[in-house]
Amino acid sequence: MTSIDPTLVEERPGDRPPILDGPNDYASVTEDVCRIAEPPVTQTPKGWLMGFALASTILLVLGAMVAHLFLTGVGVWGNRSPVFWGWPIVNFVFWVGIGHAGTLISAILFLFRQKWRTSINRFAEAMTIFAVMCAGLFPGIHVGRVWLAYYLFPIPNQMQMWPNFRSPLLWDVFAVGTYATVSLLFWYMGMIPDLATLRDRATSKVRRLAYGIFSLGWTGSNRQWHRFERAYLILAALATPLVLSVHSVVSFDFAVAQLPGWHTTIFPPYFVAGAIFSGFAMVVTLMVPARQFFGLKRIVTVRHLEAMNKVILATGTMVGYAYGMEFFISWYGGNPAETFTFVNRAFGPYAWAYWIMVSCNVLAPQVFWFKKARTSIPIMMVVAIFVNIGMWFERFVITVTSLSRDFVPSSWGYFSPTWVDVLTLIGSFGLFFTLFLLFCRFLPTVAMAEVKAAMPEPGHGHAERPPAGGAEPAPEGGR
Amino acid sequence: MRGFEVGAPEDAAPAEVVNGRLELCFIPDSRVWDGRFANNAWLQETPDFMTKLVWDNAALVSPATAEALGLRNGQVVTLEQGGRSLTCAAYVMPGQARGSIGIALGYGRGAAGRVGGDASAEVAPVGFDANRLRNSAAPDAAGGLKVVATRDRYKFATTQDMFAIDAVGMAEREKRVTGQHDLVREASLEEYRADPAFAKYVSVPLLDLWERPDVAVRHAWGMTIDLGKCTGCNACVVGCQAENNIPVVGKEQVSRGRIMHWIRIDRYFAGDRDDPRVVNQPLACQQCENAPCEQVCPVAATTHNQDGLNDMVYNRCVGTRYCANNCPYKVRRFNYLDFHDDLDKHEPDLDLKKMAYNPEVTVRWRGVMEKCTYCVQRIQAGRIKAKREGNREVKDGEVVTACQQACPTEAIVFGDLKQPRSRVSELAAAPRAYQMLAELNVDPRTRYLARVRNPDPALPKAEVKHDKH
Amino acid sequence: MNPEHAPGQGPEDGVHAVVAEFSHPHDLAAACEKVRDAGFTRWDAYTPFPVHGLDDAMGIKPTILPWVVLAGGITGCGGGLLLQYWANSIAYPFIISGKPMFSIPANVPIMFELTILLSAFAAFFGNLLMGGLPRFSNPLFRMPRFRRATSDRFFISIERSDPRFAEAKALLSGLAGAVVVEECPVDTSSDEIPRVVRYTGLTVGLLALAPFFLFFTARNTTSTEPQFHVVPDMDFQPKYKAQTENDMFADGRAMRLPVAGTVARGELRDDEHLQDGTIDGVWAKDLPPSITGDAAFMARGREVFAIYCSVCHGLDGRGDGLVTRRAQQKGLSWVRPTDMLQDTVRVQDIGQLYGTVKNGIRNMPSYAAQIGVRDRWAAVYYVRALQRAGYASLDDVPPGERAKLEKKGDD
Repeated sequence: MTSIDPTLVEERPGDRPPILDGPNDYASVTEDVCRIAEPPVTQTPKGWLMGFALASTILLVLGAMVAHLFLTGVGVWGNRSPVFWGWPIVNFVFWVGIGHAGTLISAILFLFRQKWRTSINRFAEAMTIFAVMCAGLFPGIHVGRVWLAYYLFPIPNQMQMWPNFRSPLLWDVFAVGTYATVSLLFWYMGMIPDLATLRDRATSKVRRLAYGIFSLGWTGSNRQWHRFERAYLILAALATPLVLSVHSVVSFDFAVAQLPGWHTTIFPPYFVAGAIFSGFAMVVTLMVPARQFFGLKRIVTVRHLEAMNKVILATGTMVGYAYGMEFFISWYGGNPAETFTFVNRAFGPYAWAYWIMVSCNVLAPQVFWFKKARTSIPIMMVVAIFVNIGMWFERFVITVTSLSRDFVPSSWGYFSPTWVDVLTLIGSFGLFFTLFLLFCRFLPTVAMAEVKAAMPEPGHGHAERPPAGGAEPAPEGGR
Repeated sequence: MRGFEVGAPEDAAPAEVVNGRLELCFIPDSRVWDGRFANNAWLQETPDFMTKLVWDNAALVSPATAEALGLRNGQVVTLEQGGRSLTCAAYVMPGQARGSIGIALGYGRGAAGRVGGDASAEVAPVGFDANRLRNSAAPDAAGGLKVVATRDRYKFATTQDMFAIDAVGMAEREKRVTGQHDLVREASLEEYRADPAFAKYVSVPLLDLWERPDVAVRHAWGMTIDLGKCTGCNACVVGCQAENNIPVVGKEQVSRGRIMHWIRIDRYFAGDRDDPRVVNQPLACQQCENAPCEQVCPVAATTHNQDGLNDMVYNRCVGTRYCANNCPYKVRRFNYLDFHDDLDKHEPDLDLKKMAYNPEVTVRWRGVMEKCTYCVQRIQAGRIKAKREGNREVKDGEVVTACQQACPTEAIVFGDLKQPRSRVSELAAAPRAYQMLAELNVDPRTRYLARVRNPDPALPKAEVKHDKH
Repeated sequence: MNPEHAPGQGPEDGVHAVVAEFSHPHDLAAACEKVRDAGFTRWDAYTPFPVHGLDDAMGIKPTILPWVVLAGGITGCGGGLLLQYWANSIAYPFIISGKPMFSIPANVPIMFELTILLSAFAAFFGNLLMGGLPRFSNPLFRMPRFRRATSDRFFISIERSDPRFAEAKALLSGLAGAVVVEECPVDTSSDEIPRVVRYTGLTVGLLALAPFFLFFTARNTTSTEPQFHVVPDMDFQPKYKAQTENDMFADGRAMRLPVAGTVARGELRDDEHLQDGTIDGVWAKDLPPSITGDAAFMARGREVFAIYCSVCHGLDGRGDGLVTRRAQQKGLSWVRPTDMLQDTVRVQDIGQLYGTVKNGIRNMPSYAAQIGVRDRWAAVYYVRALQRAGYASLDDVPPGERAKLEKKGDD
């Protein structure tokens, strides 16, 4: 049914560097990836242990903060009237945004046949899952009565009560829930063949059993592959509109409200662009040290990083356009409350946050117009971290400054975080990195099967490949 | 005391502000009077009608005096007069006479009790004891006051202007607040005569996207508040607190923006900083017909009932606080902590405290949103009474809300808008009636009656100055 | 897995399949074409990654998975719409922000998300189940060589169950690029579940049932106390409710009586006839002067009687109301309420009847809390009418109405 040759790379040879550096064959790819996950527990690298100790300590801080919150109440945070939503929602939107790159790389780049994605997609997908877990934590714990959070789900109950489906928060429950589920399925499904590889290479009984259970008895039979590819393609096609919808729905939390500064139609595309922007920045932030540490430089090359930097430049500029457009519309729309909100953002008491946001998100990525900056590891690392900071501040600016001054001046107030706010945010990074380090240590960090499928066949140059059906636009191709 | 200057020629040169020759005025406090009510937590947490300070008094200085002396809001100062001195904190108060510093009596008590200060039980006194500067020779006012500024800052808790406002915010507040078409609408008598319905102005045409459901099946409870009658006395605030089991949260929580009062009185200054006009606007839940809080609640914890009231279902509320964000009036209050937690403990006077609660009103626990209900328990009581008495109509004036009952000037009128001859219907139809923020098309049930100013022409600066219009 | 065996070749030779190993995907593709053309049916190729062109080479028909996903998507979309429609406009209708009970735009986001969710479930689980996964035991896993199928080697296996299995080995050995051709033994290990797994599974399974058991016992309880109070919420109110105890006072009541010698507004009782039904301590013979006994008052009396009195006394006052009849039906010990039409009651003054309603008598409790003063008078006024009606002659009927009654009597 399909005929695109696995080794047929879209670009003409010589146009761009190959996807992988150096001499590689199927066995070497397997070896490079699996040896990260394979050392027995006693031979865990020291660097990993130190990182894990640090991350899990920070995770404990998160646990302590959540326990403190549950026992005392939402009052432990800085939330107040009129800023009823403070850092927890800022953190939620921040993490959901980060969680966009993974599925984007996996799904959209897959549909666009961007083969360079194969080296980084597993990594980015894992990042997505963990970021969405961090994101899901915040709306869960930010409600006043956590033990009743299940009221948000349409569960038949003895009181015959149902949620209000008109509320954007309920849309959010469904959107983030669906996104987390589908991302998990997508990630796991793509990982089944690689888990089977680990199973077949396992030497200890425990590993063999564990990987055996999670690989579900995958044999690599072509009848399985045939259906698997179809399913993977369908999941990619489903995840693409989903990834665009999730941040749109998150933006509805703001856009559907009538608060000046929230109630704008530009929010869905602006949020989606911002999410991709922050997500890619996070992938770069994590990928650069990880490829160094785990010796994946041959698989994740500078070419991959450069491609991501281009996406960062493009989306960062889109976000900058949105900032400008917000200002323009607030003036052009002639709504006095709206006009004031934006003047207040840039020149009011929160001006510092606004200008941090603009410099980090709009100005910093502009260095990526230069190839030197795009391919320089230190520069991209600095810019990526700036973008992460800037995107957190973007959510802060949207959430907090809009709320702090709305219609009635007597109700205006200034939000200041408490130490619990700060430690909870830091703690969420602990959760993220703990999960991430566990992933790096025990799971296949690179989609081996996909990389192999995108490799030129050993011993066969491109010229030899028959063009069999290469022009046929069968969607199953591109692997 | 304040007001001495009334009758002084308007063009008199402003008094020079000379440190060491300042005037000190002792003011009875609007809440604790001379200190006799200092142990009443409800009164301690009532915001002063001018300063909006709670749990404190302060050395009030006018903006011009503060500038001349180099004082800032919250700066700790030592007042020295006649060989006595008191360390307290300065609070910049527009309208305070130039060169005169006012300080309220009734604070800094060491024998008030567990709330207001008790030296024997190591309960710190509330505020600063002005009596330390007072003697029998000058019980009301004294001259020759010297202010020594320190570098320390004191943290006040206020319910309004909670932070030193910047130029951007100040300009916008000026623009929004007073005028014929603003949040607090007022006009001079001539303007009112020229256009009695000046307050009806709505900046945009109001269109509904859908047909409204018929919500007022039985009654349409509504309220009018006459801004011309409101003096900002706070009686409604305390009346509501007593009726609706509203907790006292304490100075720390107030300064963190968590005061729980269901009705607040917004106080705005307009005009000259040193001689401003003052307007007061009581603000509680407006009971909007198109309540913006309702649609955003994911669990339908706030909905409209058959009387068109915007109900709050405490037991259903999970505390997302989305409703409060979407309320343009910011009248919703959230229980950030268990503000009644002292009642869980076994204290000697627990029974006494419990008796202060209205049995008809649920005591809310932490994590729950609350707001003005139009005293729904009183509405229900009135309806049940009418039903028992021959299933008759609820008579106009039969249901009285707590704020209405407490209001000494009868500025608040409550009743059924479905009865065409009820007082509230007639007032709501009056030319002065307007809906606050009507341009949002939330269609509030509470209507304000615009203020018409008609000061005695013999008073200096009698003419109403409008900065715009 | 191995339902049939080729004729003449029993399973006893211990061969499950013949397996050929290749090191290059293009060799595998060429080999697959040969196996396909040779007419084998029960065979498969195994590769570490999807090799394109292999589907054609093997002659695999397109999967129906997309249709399964479409069905999942339609279910999600329609189910999402129905759920929202049913929940917000039928099961739990409330007026929210003056909006209609049902409008599609507000429901689109959730319909969309559920479409995606159910489609994704269909794709994921459809893929697994249609491919026979999970399947943890496979004879091929017993071949050490086969482990490289997930790394860098390519395999073809022809199973014993294929009708042409006899030719398999010869065909595979002759293929170009086939590195090794081996026989895969039948899995002879016991298919019994290990004891540890069995007992752990049993324990976990039983523990998993515990919550359901707890729910089941909870729903059958007769206790009025809530089962658990992990979070106090607003269940315990720090206030005194009506009719509760308060140790602070000598009488132990939380509700306080008015101060002696005071009268609350609207509570002044200065009309003995109206309030108590007596005049100087003697039962009054007429309605109080402040009440006019007209037709409207009678109508109200009938209403009050129907609401409060008729359930026991019956609509005609003879003492066989619904409660009484039900109690008799059930055989309960139930004192039949007084027949209001009997002479002992008929001779009572109207004031005494009023007193009975207000104060109660024998088993009948006071109705003062439920029925207001005017309504009590209305009710007894109606009782008087009932009593008269029970002993009425045709002369009591107004002349204009008599014809109707006579007609009715004929029927």
